[in-house]
Amino acid sequence: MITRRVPARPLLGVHPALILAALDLVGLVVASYLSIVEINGGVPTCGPFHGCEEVALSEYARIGGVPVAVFGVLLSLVLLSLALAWWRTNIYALLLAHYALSLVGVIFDGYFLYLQVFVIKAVCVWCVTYEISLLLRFAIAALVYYRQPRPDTESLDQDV
Amino acid sequence: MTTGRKTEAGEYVTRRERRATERAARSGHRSESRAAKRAIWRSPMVVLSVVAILLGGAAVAYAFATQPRTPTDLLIAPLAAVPAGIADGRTLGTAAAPVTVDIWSDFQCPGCRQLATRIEPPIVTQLVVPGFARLVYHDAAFQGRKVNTSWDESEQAAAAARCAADQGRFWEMHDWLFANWNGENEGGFRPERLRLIADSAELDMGVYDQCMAAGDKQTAAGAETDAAVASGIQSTPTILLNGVLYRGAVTVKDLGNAIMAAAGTPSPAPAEGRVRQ
Repeated sequence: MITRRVPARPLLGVHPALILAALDLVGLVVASYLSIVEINGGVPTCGPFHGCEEVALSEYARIGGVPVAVFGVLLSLVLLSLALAWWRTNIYALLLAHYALSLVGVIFDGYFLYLQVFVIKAVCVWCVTYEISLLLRFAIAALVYYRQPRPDTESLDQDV
Repeated sequence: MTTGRKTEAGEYVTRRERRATERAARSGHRSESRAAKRAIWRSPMVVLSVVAILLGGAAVAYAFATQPRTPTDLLIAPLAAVPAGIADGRTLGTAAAPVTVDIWSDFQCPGCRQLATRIEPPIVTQLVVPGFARLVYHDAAFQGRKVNTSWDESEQAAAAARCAADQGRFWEMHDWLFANWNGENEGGFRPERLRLIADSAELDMGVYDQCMAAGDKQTAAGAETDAAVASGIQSTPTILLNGVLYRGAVTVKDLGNAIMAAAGTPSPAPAEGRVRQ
C-alpha cells in the first residue's frame, strides 16, 4: 500500500527528502524573484548574461495573463510541502507525489525551454536555473524511488 | 510391458504423462510472466508517470492554445512613462542641454531595443530630465532591407513613429514599439500590429491612418536611412555625443560617464535600473 510509511534509505548521508527540499527551495527563490519583478511591471536582470529581458517581455512569458513564474512558485511550494511532509512522516505516497509533480513540471519546462531557444531566441538564465533544479528534483525522486524499499515487499513500520 | 521412463522417484511415466507435465509447467511460466507484466503496469510509479505525462502534456497544450498565434494578439506596455514637457518631436530634453546624444536606431534592431528599454530610461531620469543631455532620434532603418518584401517593417515602424511625432507622441510610440519588438522581419511590425501599437500609444487613429497612407513619412525614413549609410553608419544603435562617435560600451555607467564628460561635469555614474517615471 503506497499510503504506508517506509523508512527512507539515506542519500549522501541524509534523508533524501532534505535534498529534494533544498532543491525545492532553490526553485522557490528563483521563481519568487521572477514573479515579484514581473508582477510589479519590471523585467528581471541577468547581469552579464542577456536574454531575461527578451523572455520576460515576450508574449510567451504569461499564460492567461499570469506570469509563468507564478506557476513555478506554486509548483515549488507544493513540492517543498511534499518533501517536508515525506521527511517528517516517511509516507511512501508523498515521495511518489513529488516524483509525479516534478515530472509534470519537467515536461512543461521542456516546452518553455523550446520556446526560449527556438521561438523567443533568447535564454533567460533564471528560467534555466529553475529548469535545472526541477530536472534534478525529478531525477533524484526517481532515483530515490528505485533505491527505496517497496511497502509491499519490505517490512513496514506501521500502517497509516 | 512398460514403455515409459523411470522418474527420479523410481516411478514409470508414459510419454503422454511427461508431455502433459511439461505443458503444465510451460503454462505455469506463462501465467507467472503475465502476472509479472500486470504487476509492472499496476506499479504506482508507472501509473503516476503516465498520469504526470498526461498532465504535463495538457499543461503544454493549454499554454500552446492560449498563447498568441501571431504577434498581433497581445501587446506589452512600456515600463516607463515619457517625462512630461521635455519632448519635442523626435527630441527629448531641453535645447539648452550641453550634450546632444544623437541615436541612430532601427525599431527592429535588438540592440536598439536593449538601448531603448534598459539604458535610456535611467539616462533620461538622471541626465536628460535634469538638463545635462538631450536625446535626438534618427532613423537608420535598414534591417527591413535585408528581406525583399513589399512591407519593410523597419521603414514602416519608423514612419509610424514619425506620424506619432506629428501628433506630439513620438517618444510614447518609440517606447511602445520597442516594448513590442518581436524579432527582425518576423511580422512584429506588420500593418495590423503596427496599427494596434499606434492605438496603444494613444494616437488619433484617423490622423495616423491618413499619415501612413500618404507615404511621405516612409520616404523620409528611407531618405534618412540612406543618409546614415552614406555617412558610414553600418550598425545600430550608433550613438554620437555632440557629434562625436561614442565607442564605449552601451551601458548606463559607461554611456552616462561619457555624457557627463562631454558636458564637462564629471560626476558619479548613473545607477543601473532606475526607470524614468
